[in-house]
Amino acid sequence: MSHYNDIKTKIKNVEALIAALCRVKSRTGVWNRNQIEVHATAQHLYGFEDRARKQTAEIIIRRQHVGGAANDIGFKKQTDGTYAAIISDYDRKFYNTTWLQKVGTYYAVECSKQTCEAKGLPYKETVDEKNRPVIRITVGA
Amino acid sequence: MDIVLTFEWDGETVHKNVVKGEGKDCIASTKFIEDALGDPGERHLKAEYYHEERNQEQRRINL
Repeated sequence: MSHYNDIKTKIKNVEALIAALCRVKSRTGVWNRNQIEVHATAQHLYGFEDRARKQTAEIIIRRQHVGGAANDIGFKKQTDGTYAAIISDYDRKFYNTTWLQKVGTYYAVECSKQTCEAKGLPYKETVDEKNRPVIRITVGA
Repeated sequence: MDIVLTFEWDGETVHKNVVKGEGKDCIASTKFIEDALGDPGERHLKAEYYHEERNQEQRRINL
Protein backbone atom coordinates (compact mmCIF):
# COMPACT_ATOMS: atom_id res chain seq x y z
CA MET A 1 0.00 0.00 0.00
CA SER A 2 1.28 3.45 -0.72
CA HIS A 3 -0.74 5.54 1.71
CA TYR A 4 -3.53 5.40 4.23
CA ASN A 5 -5.56 7.96 6.11
CA ASP A 6 -8.80 8.40 8.04
CA ILE A 7 -11.77 10.40 6.79
CA LYS A 8 -14.33 12.11 9.05
CA THR A 9 -17.75 11.72 7.46
CA LYS A 10 -20.09 14.68 6.97
CA ILE A 11 -23.71 13.94 6.05
CA LYS A 12 -24.43 16.01 2.92
CA ASN A 13 -25.75 13.52 0.35
CA VAL A 14 -29.55 13.19 0.67
CA GLU A 15 -29.86 9.95 -1.32
CA ALA A 16 -27.11 8.30 0.72
CA LEU A 17 -28.82 9.43 3.95
CA ILE A 18 -32.12 7.93 2.79
CA ALA A 19 -30.38 4.67 1.86
CA ALA A 20 -28.76 4.64 5.30
CA LEU A 21 -32.12 5.20 7.03
CA CYS A 22 -33.46 2.22 5.05
CA ARG A 23 -30.70 -0.03 6.48
CA VAL A 24 -30.79 0.83 10.17
CA LYS A 25 -33.42 -0.82 12.39
CA SER A 26 -36.25 1.32 13.71
CA ARG A 27 -38.87 0.55 16.37
CA THR A 28 -41.26 -0.46 13.58
CA GLY A 29 -38.77 -2.59 11.65
CA VAL A 30 -36.75 -1.47 8.66
CA TRP A 31 -38.05 1.63 6.88
CA ASN A 32 -38.56 1.69 3.15
CA ARG A 33 -38.01 4.62 0.78
CA ASN A 34 -41.73 5.50 0.67
CA GLN A 35 -41.80 6.10 4.43
CA ILE A 36 -39.19 8.86 4.23
CA GLU A 37 -40.32 12.31 3.09
CA VAL A 38 -37.91 14.59 1.24
CA HIS A 39 -38.83 18.27 0.90
CA ALA A 40 -37.09 21.07 -1.01
CA THR A 41 -38.03 23.43 1.82
CA ALA A 42 -38.16 22.46 5.47
CA GLN A 43 -41.58 21.37 6.77
CA HIS A 44 -42.90 21.29 10.32
CA LEU A 45 -42.47 18.20 12.43
CA TYR A 46 -45.54 16.94 14.31
CA GLY A 47 -45.78 15.65 17.85
CA PHE A 48 -47.63 12.62 19.17
CA GLU A 49 -50.78 14.76 19.78
CA ASP A 50 -50.89 15.73 16.09
CA ARG A 51 -49.70 19.24 16.87
CA ALA A 52 -47.14 20.97 14.70
CA ARG A 53 -43.89 21.50 16.55
CA LYS A 54 -41.68 24.53 16.08
CA GLN A 55 -38.91 22.44 14.53
CA THR A 56 -38.72 21.99 10.76
CA ALA A 57 -36.75 19.60 8.55
CA GLU A 58 -36.23 18.69 4.90
CA ILE A 59 -36.09 14.95 5.53
CA ILE A 60 -38.88 13.58 7.73
CA ILE A 61 -39.99 10.21 9.07
CA ARG A 62 -43.55 10.66 10.30
CA ARG A 63 -44.47 9.46 13.77
CA GLN A 64 -46.59 6.50 12.63
CA HIS A 65 -43.38 4.98 11.22
CA VAL A 66 -41.28 5.99 14.22
CA GLY A 67 -43.29 3.74 16.55
CA GLY A 68 -45.28 3.96 19.80
CA ALA A 69 -46.49 7.34 21.07
CA ALA A 70 -43.83 8.97 18.95
CA ASN A 71 -43.01 12.33 17.42
CA ASP A 72 -41.74 12.90 13.89
CA ILE A 73 -38.02 12.48 13.32
CA GLY A 74 -36.34 15.00 11.05
CA PHE A 75 -33.02 15.79 9.45
CA LYS A 76 -32.51 19.51 9.05
CA LYS A 77 -30.10 21.07 6.55
CA GLN A 78 -27.53 23.27 8.25
CA THR A 79 -25.84 26.39 6.87
CA ASP A 80 -22.72 24.35 5.99
CA GLY A 81 -24.78 21.90 3.92
CA THR A 82 -24.67 19.05 6.42
CA TYR A 83 -27.79 17.45 7.92
CA ALA A 84 -28.46 17.29 11.65
CA ALA A 85 -31.01 14.95 13.29
CA ILE A 86 -33.99 16.31 15.21
CA ILE A 87 -35.26 13.68 17.64
CA SER A 88 -37.50 14.37 20.64
CA ASP A 89 -36.30 13.53 24.14
CA TYR A 90 -39.03 10.88 24.36
CA ASP A 91 -37.91 9.13 21.16
CA ARG A 92 -34.26 9.24 22.17
CA LYS A 93 -34.94 6.24 24.39
CA PHE A 94 -34.70 4.16 21.22
CA TYR A 95 -33.27 6.58 18.67
CA ASN A 96 -30.24 7.33 20.81
CA THR A 97 -26.59 8.13 20.14
CA THR A 98 -25.82 4.52 19.21
CA TRP A 99 -28.66 4.53 16.68
CA LEU A 100 -27.44 7.82 15.20
CA GLN A 101 -23.90 6.44 14.96
CA LYS A 102 -25.26 3.50 12.96
CA VAL A 103 -27.03 5.94 10.63
CA GLY A 104 -23.73 7.78 10.17
CA THR A 105 -21.83 4.58 9.43
CA TYR A 106 -24.40 3.33 6.94
CA TYR A 107 -24.45 6.81 5.40
CA ALA A 108 -20.71 6.60 4.74
CA VAL A 109 -21.12 3.11 3.24
CA GLU A 110 -24.00 4.16 0.98
CA CYS A 111 -22.28 7.42 -0.02
CA SER A 112 -19.18 5.45 -1.02
CA LYS A 113 -21.25 2.98 -3.06
CA GLN A 114 -23.17 5.77 -4.84
CA THR A 115 -19.91 7.58 -5.63
CA CYS A 116 -18.46 4.39 -7.16
CA GLU A 117 -21.61 3.80 -9.20
CA ALA A 118 -21.53 7.39 -10.51
CA LYS A 119 -17.91 6.92 -11.59
CA GLY A 120 -18.46 3.40 -12.97
CA LEU A 121 -15.99 1.85 -10.54
CA PRO A 122 -16.48 -1.79 -9.46
CA TYR A 123 -16.73 -2.37 -5.72
CA LYS A 124 -17.55 -5.13 -3.27
CA GLU A 125 -19.11 -4.71 0.19
CA THR A 126 -18.18 -7.17 2.95
CA VAL A 127 -17.63 -7.10 6.72
CA ASP A 128 -14.34 -7.66 8.52
CA GLU A 129 -13.54 -9.82 11.58
CA LYS A 130 -14.82 -7.03 13.87
CA ASN A 131 -18.11 -6.90 11.94
CA ARG A 132 -17.26 -3.50 10.48
CA PRO A 133 -18.49 -2.77 6.94
CA VAL A 134 -15.71 -2.87 4.35
CA ILE A 135 -15.81 -1.71 0.72
CA ARG A 136 -13.06 -2.64 -1.72
CA ILE A 137 -12.99 -0.39 -4.81
CA THR A 138 -10.98 -1.17 -7.94
CA VAL A 139 -9.60 1.97 -9.56
CA GLY A 140 -8.13 1.99 -13.07
CA ALA A 141 -8.71 -1.71 -13.75
CA MET B 1 -4.91 -0.09 -7.55
CA ASP B 2 -7.57 -0.87 -4.95
CA ILE B 3 -9.06 1.37 -2.27
CA VAL B 4 -10.14 -0.47 0.88
CA LEU B 5 -12.56 1.48 3.07
CA THR B 6 -13.26 0.25 6.59
CA PHE B 7 -16.17 1.91 8.39
CA GLU B 8 -16.12 2.34 12.16
CA TRP B 9 -19.42 2.12 14.03
CA ASP B 10 -18.79 5.55 15.60
CA GLY B 11 -20.76 7.04 12.72
CA GLU B 12 -17.98 9.16 11.28
CA THR B 13 -14.59 7.48 10.96
CA VAL B 14 -13.63 5.77 7.69
CA HIS B 15 -10.18 4.20 7.33
CA LYS B 16 -8.89 4.44 3.77
CA ASN B 17 -6.08 2.16 2.62
CA VAL B 18 -4.74 2.27 -0.91
CA VAL B 19 -3.21 -1.04 -1.97
CA LYS B 20 -1.20 -1.86 -5.05
CA GLY B 21 -0.71 1.86 -5.75
CA GLU B 22 2.56 3.69 -6.22
CA GLY B 23 3.66 7.32 -6.21
CA LYS B 24 1.81 10.64 -6.14
CA ASP B 25 -0.74 9.42 -8.67
CA CYS B 26 -2.40 7.18 -6.09
CA ILE B 27 -3.22 10.18 -3.89
CA ALA B 28 -4.78 12.17 -6.75
CA SER B 29 -6.72 9.22 -8.17
CA THR B 30 -8.26 8.25 -4.82
CA LYS B 31 -9.13 11.77 -3.64
CA PHE B 32 -12.67 11.48 -5.04
CA ILE B 33 -13.73 9.27 -2.15
CA GLU B 34 -12.50 11.83 0.39
CA ASP B 35 -14.35 14.59 -1.45
CA ALA B 36 -17.55 12.51 -1.33
CA LEU B 37 -17.33 11.56 2.33
CA GLY B 38 -15.97 14.55 4.20
CA ASP B 39 -12.70 15.73 5.69
CA PRO B 40 -9.52 13.71 5.16
CA GLY B 41 -7.07 13.36 8.01
CA GLU B 42 -3.31 13.27 7.74
CA ARG B 43 -1.96 10.91 5.07
CA HIS B 44 0.63 8.33 6.03
CA LEU B 45 2.87 7.42 3.11
CA LYS B 46 4.04 3.85 2.78
CA ALA B 47 7.12 2.24 1.28
CA GLU B 48 5.65 1.85 -2.21
CA TYR B 49 5.12 5.61 -2.46
CA TYR B 50 8.80 6.32 -1.80
CA HIS B 51 9.81 3.46 -4.12
CA GLU B 52 8.14 5.28 -7.01
CA GLU B 53 9.68 8.61 -5.97
CA ARG B 54 13.13 7.03 -5.94
CA ASN B 55 12.57 5.54 -9.39
CA GLN B 56 11.60 8.95 -10.77
CA GLU B 57 14.68 10.53 -9.21
CA GLN B 58 16.85 7.79 -10.68
CA ARG B 59 15.39 8.43 -14.13
CA ARG B 60 16.11 12.15 -13.80
CA ILE B 61 19.73 11.44 -12.85
CA ASN B 62 20.19 9.07 -15.76
CA LEU B 63 19.10 11.80 -18.16
